[in-house]
Amino acid sequence: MNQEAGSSPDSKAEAAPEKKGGSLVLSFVMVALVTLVGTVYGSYLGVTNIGMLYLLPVIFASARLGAKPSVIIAITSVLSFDIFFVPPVLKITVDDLRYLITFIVFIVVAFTSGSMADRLRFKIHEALYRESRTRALYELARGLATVNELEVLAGKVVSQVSETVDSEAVLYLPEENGSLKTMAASKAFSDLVLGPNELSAAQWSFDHSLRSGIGTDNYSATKGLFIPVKTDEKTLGVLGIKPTTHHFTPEQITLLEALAGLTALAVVRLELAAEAQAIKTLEASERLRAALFNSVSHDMKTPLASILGAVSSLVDDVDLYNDDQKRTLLISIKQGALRMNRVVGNLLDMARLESGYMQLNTDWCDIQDIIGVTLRENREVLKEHGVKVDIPESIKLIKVDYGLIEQVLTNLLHNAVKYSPCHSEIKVRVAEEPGELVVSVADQGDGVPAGDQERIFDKFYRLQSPGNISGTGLGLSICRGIIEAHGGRIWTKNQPGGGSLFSFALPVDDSAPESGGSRLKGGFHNNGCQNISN
Amino acid sequence: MVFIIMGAKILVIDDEIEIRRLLKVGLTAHGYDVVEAANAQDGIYQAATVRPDILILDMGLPDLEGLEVVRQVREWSHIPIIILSVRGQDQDKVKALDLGADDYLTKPFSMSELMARIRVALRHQANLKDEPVIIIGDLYIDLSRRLVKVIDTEVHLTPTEYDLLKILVSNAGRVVTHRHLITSIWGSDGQEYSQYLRIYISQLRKKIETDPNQPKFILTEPGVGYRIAVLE
Repeated sequence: MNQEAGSSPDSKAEAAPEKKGGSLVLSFVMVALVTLVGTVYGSYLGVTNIGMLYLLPVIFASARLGAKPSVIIAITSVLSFDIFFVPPVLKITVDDLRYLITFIVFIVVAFTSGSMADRLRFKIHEALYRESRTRALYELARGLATVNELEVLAGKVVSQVSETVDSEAVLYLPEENGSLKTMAASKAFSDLVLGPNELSAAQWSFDHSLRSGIGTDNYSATKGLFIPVKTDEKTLGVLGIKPTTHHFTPEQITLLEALAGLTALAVVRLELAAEAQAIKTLEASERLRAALFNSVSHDMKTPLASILGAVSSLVDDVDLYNDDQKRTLLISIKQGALRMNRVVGNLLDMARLESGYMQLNTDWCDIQDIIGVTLRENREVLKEHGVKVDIPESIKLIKVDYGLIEQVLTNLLHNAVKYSPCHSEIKVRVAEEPGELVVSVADQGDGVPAGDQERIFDKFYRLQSPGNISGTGLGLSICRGIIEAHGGRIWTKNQPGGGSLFSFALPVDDSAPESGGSRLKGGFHNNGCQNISN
Repeated sequence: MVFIIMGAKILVIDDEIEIRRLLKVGLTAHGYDVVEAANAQDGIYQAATVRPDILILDMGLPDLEGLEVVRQVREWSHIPIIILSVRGQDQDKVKALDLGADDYLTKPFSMSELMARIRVALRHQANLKDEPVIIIGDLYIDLSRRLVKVIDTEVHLTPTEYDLLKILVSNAGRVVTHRHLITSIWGSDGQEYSQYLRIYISQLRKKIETDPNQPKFILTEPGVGYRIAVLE
């Protein structure tokens, strides 16, 4: 739609030579026609009226062709009128000099109306051009307003520019080191034109903030025109355009400059948005760091205090204590150290998850086995609670990182212990759902308030509990990190009878073998394992 | 306590002086003779000159990888090697075991756990001759008759299950790596056997454990292998 609209007045004028030729011929035909009609009906019409008829082709020519051609038609009409109708007929000479006035009027009418038509036509072209230019700028501006990614922006700029000036377009943006790379190009550009010459022309434009290529003093031999995309402060990139047929008119270049200006604004906007985002992230990480210091200093200092207190008692006043008391002090040292070890472990896990350093070391695992190990490792913590395990007789193996899933279970069990009354039962349940394995840990505590059930997996988020329960607020966010790294999901809800239920689901491969299932015997006992026969 | 070799000489190779001091105090208190080395070079030299009965080796040494120490010592000596590692060195730990280290402990560890590992390693060293009957708690295994009983009830095992149990009990108390089990049973260590192993262990537990959810005999060493618990 914009192909016509984008053309400048000049190109319009050049674009219609055949139409002009046609109108000129038509004007001559009309002159001939008037002559014919005058010859046939001359006696009836009278010389004056025939003269009036000759004005018609003149007016027609001036309206259609402008001043100069219409003067030519006027002269032709005058000559025809003079020769065929003004006595003496068939001679150029004029007996009655009054007819000279008619001739002069003809010429004046032709010239005046022709120039007026010319001016009008020029005004129309100009208006059309302005409208198309405004539309192109508007559409680009509108297109770029909603864009949030540089790639999309580049694509839109390229397609809008190539549509507007009916050319191939390319947008170069600088890399970190300042050398340009193609961000987006309209289809044909990349294949045909993007040579080293073009790239160095673009680079020159970028470095000097000046146009280069076709129609300029620099790199004029290249196949494109390169316009810097710049703001007042700096150059952000280069817009390259390869005209499909001819050179660009000054108006087109002005339009392209305007488009490049718009592009620059959009790029700056994106840069600012990215900076704002970076600042936000920084602020968030600052807050995170503050929260980390608070919770870590608390969580590390409490066990450290108990260790140091007990140790200093033993070192300074060893004779004051009997064997039982000594043992109590030593146990508190041990427990403090274990607790610190857990905190450090969680912090390390968090750091690994955050840095993306956590690599899944996956292998086929039996969830029953993982649960067994977790319970054994945490028997000290769990000894005040009855733990009930409910696992189906045969269940599919899952391909997971054993240690990490154990960590998830450990964190969930610790939470269950922390947030539920002593001696209450904790249930670990495994269920096979279509495509996934769901493991749940249920406790008999107070549950999680409905509004917190999602946020509880956020880092450092802790329930406002009256019991003053210690913790870093890292455990569940680590769980989520680990489970999501496995392509699974984790959630919590409250049980109807009270207590919370934490569950995680891990994807199960359909081809995974079942542990303890009958598939084993039929499955590969027959595969020729050497030990079967002995 | 029967198996303690009184005055057995233990070489501790660890770059952290705190750990060495702790081990020296703990081990000496248990009647062992302790020799220390702060780096791999010195450790290897002492292993060759002092001729210790057991080697406790930290994986993270300043000059050489702990793995390299295992490799070099194993070239000329069969002395038991117990690896000390921190969480996150799982791969190295498994490599060290596959290279011939006998057992491992993850820092932080308890002294009693270390003592148990040392006893197992020394006993294993002293006891390489075949023992036809092995009794671990309620579990009775007669290797000469391929007979397995749990609380006096005979348990029927498939040949593979039996082989698995046999390898584990003849290393009772020591960790046996996945790779060792897989190559011993299937003669190859292809990836596919990893899942078979998990399934056979699961089957075996169902047959010999009272509660397969919380196994007492066959313990999993995550990421490393399995260990038959020694009930002392």
